[in-house]
Amino acid sequence: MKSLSKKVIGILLSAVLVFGITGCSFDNGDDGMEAIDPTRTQLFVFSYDGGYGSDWLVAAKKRYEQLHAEDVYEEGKKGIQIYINPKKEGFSTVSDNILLNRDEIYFHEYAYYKTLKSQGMLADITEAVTGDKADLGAYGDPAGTTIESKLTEQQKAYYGIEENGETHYYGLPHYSGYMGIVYNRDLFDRKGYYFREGYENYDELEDRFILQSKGATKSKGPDGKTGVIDGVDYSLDDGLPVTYDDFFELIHCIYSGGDTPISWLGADYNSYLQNFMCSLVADYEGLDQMSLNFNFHGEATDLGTVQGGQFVKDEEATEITPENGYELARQRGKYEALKFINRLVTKSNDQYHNNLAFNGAYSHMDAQDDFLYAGNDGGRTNNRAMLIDGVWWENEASDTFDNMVAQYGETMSKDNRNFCYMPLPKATEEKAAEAAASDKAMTLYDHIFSICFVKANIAEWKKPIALDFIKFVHTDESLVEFTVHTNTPKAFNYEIGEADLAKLTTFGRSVIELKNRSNIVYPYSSEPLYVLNQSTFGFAEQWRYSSTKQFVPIAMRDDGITAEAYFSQLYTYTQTKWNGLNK
Amino acid sequence: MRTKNTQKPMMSGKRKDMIFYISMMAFPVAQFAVFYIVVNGGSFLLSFQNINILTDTTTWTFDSIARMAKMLVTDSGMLTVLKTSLVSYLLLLVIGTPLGLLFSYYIFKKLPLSGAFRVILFLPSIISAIVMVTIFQFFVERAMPEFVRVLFHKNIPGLMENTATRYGTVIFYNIWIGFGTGVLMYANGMSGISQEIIDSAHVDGVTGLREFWSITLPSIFPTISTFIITGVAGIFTSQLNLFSFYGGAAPENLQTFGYYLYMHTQAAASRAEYPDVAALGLLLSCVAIPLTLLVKWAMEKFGPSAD
Repeated sequence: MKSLSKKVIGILLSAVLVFGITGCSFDNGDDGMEAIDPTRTQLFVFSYDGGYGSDWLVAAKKRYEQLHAEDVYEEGKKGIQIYINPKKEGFSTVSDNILLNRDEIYFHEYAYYKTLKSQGMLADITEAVTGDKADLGAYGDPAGTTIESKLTEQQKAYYGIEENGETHYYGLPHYSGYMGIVYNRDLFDRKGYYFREGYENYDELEDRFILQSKGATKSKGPDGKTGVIDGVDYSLDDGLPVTYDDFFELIHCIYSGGDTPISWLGADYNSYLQNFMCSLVADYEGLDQMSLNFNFHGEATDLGTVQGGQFVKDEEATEITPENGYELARQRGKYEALKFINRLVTKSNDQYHNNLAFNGAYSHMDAQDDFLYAGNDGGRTNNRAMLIDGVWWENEASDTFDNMVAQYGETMSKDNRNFCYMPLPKATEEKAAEAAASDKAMTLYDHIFSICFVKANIAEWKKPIALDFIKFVHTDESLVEFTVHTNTPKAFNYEIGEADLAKLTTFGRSVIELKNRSNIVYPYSSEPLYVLNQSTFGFAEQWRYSSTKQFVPIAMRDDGITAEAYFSQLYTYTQTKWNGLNK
Repeated sequence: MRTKNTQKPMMSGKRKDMIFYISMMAFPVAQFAVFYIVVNGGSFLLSFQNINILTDTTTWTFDSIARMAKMLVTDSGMLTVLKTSLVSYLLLLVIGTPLGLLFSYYIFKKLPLSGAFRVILFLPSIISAIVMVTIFQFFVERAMPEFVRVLFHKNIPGLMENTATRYGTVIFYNIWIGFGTGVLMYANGMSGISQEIIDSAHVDGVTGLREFWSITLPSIFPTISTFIITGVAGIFTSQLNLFSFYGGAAPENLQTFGYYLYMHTQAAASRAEYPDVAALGLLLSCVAIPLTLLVKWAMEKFGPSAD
């Protein structure tokens, strides 16, 4: 009997093992884990399966495979199989084995392009990016369009590497990563959390906001315009806060309305909030001034010191060079961002945010879940009006939306709920007026260092296939398809037609609208000082206060450091560390 | 008449021993060569290099050494890190070692549930560190405040969120997960004590604490001193699992040299950024090596003898 039991257990364990292994090889078609088709040629593609997911790549794969179903790349085989390897492995884990791994094309994030190039990891993909062979006309783009033509000047200067008098490309940007404020538009509409027209003439909170006065008109918002002008709809930001002071007044208004004004994750709050600070600085400084922080060539017009709590601007502009780049620690945008974040994290304002905002066991997914469920869970929790997160949040929270649909019905779906990316308020009324007068009212900060590249040791015969696929996924059709799948933009210039815009969620449309009306700062350059000290200019290090303090939120919250003190010490420390940089 | 033995001789015992020895030692020696000599040799050389990844050139310089030496003596942040590193080592030594010894003694004496204790205390050593940290962090950050709320109707922040309890919680965790190896080694050391000695001590009326103090402790002192010496050597490399808890954003008052070095290595964007970290590591080694040798000498000179 004992022996029989052993046999039964043995068989069961074997079955579990066997089915467990074969279970991995089932072709489910949609998640990218599929069997290798021996009748087709494979192109192996690694996709970082984080917030943006890999559905966009599955969609591109299907179209590409169909398009080349009859092509012969290898003897005895017909057609191509784009084999996707979707993994949530950080780039530091992946990068050590790029040349050893099977994957031939990579889509990833937080990667140092120049480092990879210096390590000999990247194949030359110039043919796919620029020149006659790079024409995307064959794939439906207007003739003469190349991937290079979709890059900004800053991107071209970074990704294009001069070699023997020619520009070579070894990598390309991938998706966009802006950090900002998401607001629950349904809640705002329902509760009237909008500034009303002429609010500046009133003192009382209830007079300054729409609240229950449903008939009142919203203010014109940060762009200072409303309605459709020359085919552009300016109404999406109506009623939203124009200045930082407005924003904190809105927070107080929401709190008074019985809701939680703003929330964020607790586990990595320093990184999220500090990235958000970089967004504030970029928006304040604008493209040219912010880019000085990475290219160190140009005139800094916004430097100063803080005296008695007031920012005193230098009388003259400062010429920035790699030798005196530390002067940029005195940019006004940095001081304003410090003041903003201080108001957000100071303990006396704890009532304005979620109570786990500094709790190490409260993840970004928890914050997203709570943001979505709050106010929709039978009265257990009160509404949450805003969330600090990246543009990827809605796609990342797809499972939560699906669960809510299963629990509460279709009204809880991504398509039926309305969230929007909030245009960042401006530090001062002057800045707001300046922005309203400009066609690029905002400056976004893309912190994510996303990348697409082909590994250096790809087989020679396969390289043309890889380059062709790179071209394919950068056609307008593929870029738009990415946006439709993720509700976020790729880090390229491309138009999205009305029909495709209609396929996006409200949040996705708000992001695209914001992108269209913004300049974008990419925190990199090809300046040797930058390349040799890249980590120094990352979102954490550029705020370093001392050898052991580099995160503003914790320094302000736990140590009570004021914005003024931080700003002053930031300059002192940056000046000191400048001497130790690699040159 | 002597005839030549044409038969092929069988493999001699000596040769067999040599083959066995080589096959057993090849892997550890290779591992030592690669993971100790090559890695540390590489770090040593990095300390004197300036690397330009744009031109792919390396120049030799004392710049990093000089810069890091200056930082160590002039930067007030380094003083905080030094203090935390030393205090943490002492706390783990003063609290962790006696507790580890007591648990080991309990297990050695086969007192009730000693088997279960052995498994429970060793469990953290076999479960992935990140899993343990996640479970522990959830417990102290989310579960404990909830218990307090339900039982005492009081709202408290998580133990790691609260600046007053943060350091103590981290030290508690490190003591707890440090038990595994210690208890195993001490208990094994105790099992080697001759039963006859213990029996004769019992005949002489020695029991309990006296037995532990006069017989058990001196008998396993070599094991204890090994732990103390390796602990000293690790003062500047122990990072108290801070990276698992906080990632790159550990509060200043928790940071140790181990964490500082780890974070700067992890954050480096390219080879060009390694020399400073390597130089700092080398300078700390210059402190750690004589300190370790001094402690080793003191242990041998003043420690109790098993005789």
